[in-house]
Amino acid sequence: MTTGAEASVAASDPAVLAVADLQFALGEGPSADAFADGRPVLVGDLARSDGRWMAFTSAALASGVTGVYAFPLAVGAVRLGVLACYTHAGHTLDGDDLRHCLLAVDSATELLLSSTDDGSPRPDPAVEESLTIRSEVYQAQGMLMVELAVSLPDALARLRAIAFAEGIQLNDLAADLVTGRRPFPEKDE
Amino acid sequence: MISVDQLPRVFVEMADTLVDDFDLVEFLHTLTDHVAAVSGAEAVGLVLADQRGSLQFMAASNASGAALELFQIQNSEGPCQDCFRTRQPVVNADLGRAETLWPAFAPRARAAGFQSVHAFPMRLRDEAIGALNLFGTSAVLFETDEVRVVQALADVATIAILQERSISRAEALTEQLQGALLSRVVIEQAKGALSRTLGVSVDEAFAVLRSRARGSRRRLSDVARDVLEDSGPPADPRGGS
Repeated sequence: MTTGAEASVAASDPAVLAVADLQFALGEGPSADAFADGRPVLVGDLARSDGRWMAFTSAALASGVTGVYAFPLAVGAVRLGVLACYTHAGHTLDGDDLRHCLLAVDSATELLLSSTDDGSPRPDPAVEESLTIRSEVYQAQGMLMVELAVSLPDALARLRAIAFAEGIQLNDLAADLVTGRRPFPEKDE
Repeated sequence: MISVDQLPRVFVEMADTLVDDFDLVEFLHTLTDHVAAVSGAEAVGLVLADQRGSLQFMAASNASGAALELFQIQNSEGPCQDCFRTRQPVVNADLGRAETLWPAFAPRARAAGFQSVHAFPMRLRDEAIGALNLFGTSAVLFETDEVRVVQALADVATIAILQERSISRAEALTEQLQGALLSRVVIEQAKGALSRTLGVSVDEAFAVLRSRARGSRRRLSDVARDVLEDSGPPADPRGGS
């Protein structure tokens, strides 16, 4: 797993870490693209990646990695990192495998968001919540960023803290803010 | 009732877009606008299935208030959910008699002033990847030929999603769907931020975003990212750009 565009923070084994670090040493690869473009970059067969990452591909193939599946960890414009799965010996991931990866992406995103805490109360990480988040939550997040002059992650943390403290649904709180049924919270400072 | 004289222009315009480098989110919004104009529907929305099996709202001709809620609650129940599961169009549903079919959805749709609803599957071989949803304030009924026309427009949306690369791999579909869903979240965040910066409604903020993107020939999601960077606090140690 990678956060920011700087370094690997966790890997399932040393060989994987070496290949992940390679992307940063070389400044190219599927993870860097996934982070920059905000979309998954899934390459089951590196040998057929059409020279997209010349240096990385030859080094990765030399170390036995034949596929890279890089998923951005992001909430809209909030870019938290990249989760990448590496395969070897020509093994590829099918639709079910990719679904499992996406569930892991949800969990990792949730954990990273929770680490943005500013000391306010916070609900337990509820990964399933992200499945039902409605548009108004993201709109309210953008609104709160401007209103409170905080970052986007902090705006979401603030929304969740209010919802948790008042025992209401995040979707309902956001809808009330967006429609003006409820005033915006005051700045902390 | 389909307005046939507009159809050639709509298909030509969409085909023109598909051969260029295009922004998928903007394309899907434009498509829902076209479907609304051609069909006379009051609100047209498009939902995509993410690969967690959940229907996510993606684009709409009228994405405010009640209509937006109706697109979004169909993750659990409603014509989009049915049409997604069966891969068949759900047409000419009379909302006045749909209580047993959709106990939560139907009363809300009627309370919002809608009388008719239709849903068309976005089909890819033997699966469905989403649905196109039309709401009417009068009891609009589609003839068989008209059903085929609207289904063709839903198929155009599917083609747009698959167009960027050959879709022989599960990888490409996942890239496209997840990429589109993430872009939409960026756009929602920017709509919210811009509405507060400009002191306008969320819908008006969206219109501003779209016209900026068109004016500068840039992707809607890129314009949205710029808005968020410009209106956020100057430094974010966690790298949220």
